[in-house]
Formats: sequence, C-alpha cells, structure tokens
Amino acid sequence: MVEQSSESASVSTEDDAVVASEAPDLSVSVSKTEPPAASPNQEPPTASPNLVPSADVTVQGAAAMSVAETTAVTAQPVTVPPSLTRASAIVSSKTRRTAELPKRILKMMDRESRITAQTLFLHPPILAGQSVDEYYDIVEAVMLDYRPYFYRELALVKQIADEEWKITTFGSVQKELLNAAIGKGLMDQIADADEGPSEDRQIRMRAWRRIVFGAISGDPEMDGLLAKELGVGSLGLNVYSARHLVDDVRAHIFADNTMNAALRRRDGAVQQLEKISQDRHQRLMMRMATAEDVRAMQANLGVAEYAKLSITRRRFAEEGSAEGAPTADQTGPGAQNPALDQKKITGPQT
Amino acid sequence: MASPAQIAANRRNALRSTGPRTAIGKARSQSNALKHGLRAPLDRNASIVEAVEALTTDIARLEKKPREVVRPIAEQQIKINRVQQTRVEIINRYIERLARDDPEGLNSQARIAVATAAAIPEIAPLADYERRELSRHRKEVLRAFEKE
Repeated sequence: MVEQSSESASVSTEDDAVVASEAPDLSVSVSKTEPPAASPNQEPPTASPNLVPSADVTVQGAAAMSVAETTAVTAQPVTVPPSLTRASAIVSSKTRRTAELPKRILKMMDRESRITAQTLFLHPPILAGQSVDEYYDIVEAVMLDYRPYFYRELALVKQIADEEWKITTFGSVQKELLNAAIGKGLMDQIADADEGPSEDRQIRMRAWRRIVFGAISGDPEMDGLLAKELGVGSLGLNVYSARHLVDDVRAHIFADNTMNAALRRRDGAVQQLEKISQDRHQRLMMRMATAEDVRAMQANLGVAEYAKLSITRRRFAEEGSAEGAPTADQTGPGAQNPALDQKKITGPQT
Repeated sequence: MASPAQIAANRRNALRSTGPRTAIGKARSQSNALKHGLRAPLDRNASIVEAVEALTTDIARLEKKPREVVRPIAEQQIKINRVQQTRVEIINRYIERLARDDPEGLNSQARIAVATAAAIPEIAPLADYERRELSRHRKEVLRAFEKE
C-alpha cells in the first residue's frame, strides 16, 4: 500500500534514491519535491572580524539579491550563486549513510553479539554536519554501562543511544533558534535606535549584524565589541526577541514534544536493560542460570570479576552451612552446566 | 454540485485524457503518490528484504532460536531504522538546500536548526510511525523471548 500524497505533481522513482555503496539500502523513496527556501528573515550567526563589508560580493538576479541582502557579509569574497560542489561537499563529506562500529566498541562484545551489533548500527541517524564519532561516544558509554550480550539488550542499547542523540540534536535546534531570535531582536532594537545618515544605514546594519551574530555564536572579539558599544548583557530575551520567537514557536513545540518522547523512551529502555541485567544476575545467584546467562555474565563482568563472584558464592556455600545454603558441589557455573565448569572459563569469545 | 450534463461532459473530457504513454512515463507516474513508502510492505524492495534476512540470521544465531520466531522482530527493527533514515533523509535534503543557497552563511549547527524547523511539516508525521513501530517491536520481542 502506498501512501497517498496531496502533492499530485511530485514524481519520485526508485532511481532517485541514493544507494549506499555496499550495505543493504534501508532508505525509502522520499518524494523529491524541493524544500521551500529558507525563511528570508533567517539570520546567519556567522561573523567576521572585518566590519567593512567585502567589496567582492557579486549579486546576480533578484533571488540572489534577496539572499545577499539577508545574510551577513563575510570577510571571504562571496560569489553568488554559490558553488554546487561546495554545497554537495557539505552534505556528502559529513554524512555517512552506512558506518561500521568502531573497534573500541566491538571489543566490548563477543563474536556473535558483534555481528548482530554491526547489522543493527549500520545506519546511524546522523544528519549532515553532525559528527558520527559523537554518536558512537554515546553508544560506547551505554555499552560500557550495560555490556549488552543478547539481541534484546543490543536493541535497547541502540534505542537509548538513538533517543539520546535525538535529545541532543533537538536541544541544539532549540538553542540555535533561540539564539537567532535573540539576534534578530537585537538587530530590530539597533535599527529602531539608529539615527545615523540614511545613505550609510545599510552598511551600518550589516556591520552590526556581524557583531551581533558573531557574539551570539561565541566569537570573543565580537562579544567584546558588542559589550563596548551597547554594554554588557545587551544580548538577551526581551520584547524585540519575543516577536521573533513567535515565528519559531511551532518549531519549539515540535522540538519539545520530540525531546519529551525521546526522554520517556530512553528512560523506559534503561529500566528494561537494568531489569534484564538484574534478572540474569538473580538467576545466576540462584543457580538457575542457563549456559547463555553464564556466558553473558562473563562478558558483562569480565572474567576476573566473574570468577570472584563465583568464588564468593562457593565460599558462602561452604561456610554457610545454614539451612537452604547450597552445597559446595552445587555451586559454580558448572553446577548445572558441566561444560561450563569454573576451570574452563576462558572469558568471552573474541 | 455538478449537474448531470456537467458530469457527462466531464466524463467525455476524461476519455480524452491520455496519461503517460511510454514505459518510462508510466514508471514515473506510478510513484506520483509515493510520499515516503513507510507503509509499503517490506518485500517490495529487494535491499530491504536482504537487510531483514541478514538481521534475522544474526538474531537467530545469537539467540539460538528458529528463524521464523525471530523474523518478525527483525522486520520491526528494520522498520524502525527506516523511519529514522527517512527523517534523516528529509532533514538532509533541507540542509543541502540551505548549503546550496548560502554555503558560507550558516554554521553547521545553525543550518541543522533552520533545516529542521523548515522540515517539520514533513517529519512530524514520522513520530507516529516511529512510536507504532517501536511498540510493535516491543511486542514481538516479548512474544519471542518472554513467553518461554
């Protein structure tokens, strides 16, 4: 069944889909309607130390003029229309459609888990411009905490990492939208207060824009200039910025909802993982562990800790001749699984 | 409300509509209504079938379960991945557009923010798909592993 589109003119074929090089392509055919142009009042938070607009800006056509007028003039000469090579490089260089888990993560798992993990993490949800390494840092942190062994645990680890990544991404989106609103608000304020000669107004505003958005994006030089000209604390939410916040309110609500849902799912997955871990531990202590449980515990704890745990259990069994305490020959991982006798523990398969 | 005469005229005019004639044209137009394909059965796409088979094999080997038991889990997992990839594809398309229009103007974080805000009408419906697929995945996992 194919979803019906309201856009009757949109055409998409399987050929349009970008196909990953080697791995199975999980991409779906997304209709190739061109996205609408960015909001014309969108302010770029880039800055240049040079307050004098570059004379190398060349503008071609009305559309290019609108772009040029609404963007800050940078120190680098800007050629309009921009190079398509540059645009595609921004996307292609920073987007990996398929990726292999780093070795540091793979080393945490045994061979079987590693194969499944590689299949699971084949398509990390990384946007163009985001770092796949940061995503893997999250995966590694979760894996260090929970040492997944079975598929169910691996899937939960993936879910935790994905939700965490979503929270980070949408948190950043909100921050950038707020910054843009603050910058635009301050620009309005400056424009209202501007009493200089009208012929230079455009140049002044461009210079101010560079200062304001440079300060917002964390440029210390621009921050110093702004503090010198307008006073410390001039950047902030006020009536002016509130007007621009309203423009992005839908995006803020969407980001909020997305992050809330991601938080709930992440916490749910963490609880499930902890429960699985506890259950396995409990089964092991009660000598109800299966051979796979024992292997998973070895992988989770490491051989040394696992052996320590077994010795503790054995000692408890020997010393505690209390009622119900297991006898010495009943303890140890090999009690129910002779093949997994304590002497034969060699650690997780690698 | 159209009169019977108008309806008859519309039907006569519709007979003159030819639609696509060539095989290429037909192939193109058959995807006109395709939005993201997330509702389409998985077996329509060979690469997706391949991915499901690969994951089924991996899970069956890891869990020591028959393939038919774990296949629904693999299918749901692939569906979840597809929703995520669709979201990434859509936002990346907007990012690419922004990068093309203004390659030096926005830093990468700002570009992602602007692109995400612009892509909301397209990515918002995917949240429902994702929630549904995650829920089904959970049920399949419970069915396969918990009721032993």
